[in-house]
Amino acid sequence: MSGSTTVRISRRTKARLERIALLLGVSLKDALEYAVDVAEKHLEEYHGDLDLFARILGDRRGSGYRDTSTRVDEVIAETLLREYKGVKGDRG
Amino acid sequence: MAILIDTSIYYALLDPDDEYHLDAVAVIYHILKGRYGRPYTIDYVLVETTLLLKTRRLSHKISLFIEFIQKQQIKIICVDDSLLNESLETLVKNPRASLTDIAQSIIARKLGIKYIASLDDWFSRQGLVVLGKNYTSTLSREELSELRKYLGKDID
Repeated sequence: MSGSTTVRISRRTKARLERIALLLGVSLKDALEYAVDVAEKHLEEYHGDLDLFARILGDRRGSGYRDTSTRVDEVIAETLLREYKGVKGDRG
Repeated sequence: MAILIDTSIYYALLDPDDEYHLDAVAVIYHILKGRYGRPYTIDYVLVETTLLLKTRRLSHKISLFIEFIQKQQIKIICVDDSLLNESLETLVKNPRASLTDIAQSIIARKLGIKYIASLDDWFSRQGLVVLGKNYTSTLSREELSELRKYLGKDID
């Protein structure tokens, strides 16, 4: 994407950006691009909790059905139809 | 990099009897290891998954499922008016598609997300890389060994 535009930021944020620019030895514009790069990388970083994953897998009680995950829409439709007809589902 | 997680994967993860349970376990394992970046899920997927768990008499797993979503910091994207309207317009043109799936494909496009963990091939026709079926075969021997510890059974 080419061209440029104006971004309005607070004086405090500008002062912080100026400090970053000084530390990096780059222009204010390059410091802003650097900050966006860092923010994007930070957003992409992720590590989950494998202990909680183990707890999920520890509960081996199943439904007895094999094909629910590939028939999501149909199973939901069947459920709603059953509810409509007054057949009770699993209410816990 | 980021990934969306669909209903089919959550459900298969939570139901050991499901045909694709091991594939769901494997793909979630890689997601938690950070291979695909931050995971996202839309609110409709939570509705579908909890409804399926109730339908299949697995209500006792709902609290663990919610804890899983919250503690794994899976970002929940709520469908707003604008996205709903766009999804409904698409649904009118493709009445055989699922509203949840359409909303997910629109969000993926808007956020630049390339990957979706799903067992539904429909997403590949929308240009997404679908991770789910046969995913277990992508695991290394060491990873299979680690998963075996969690599952307490042979998954070769």
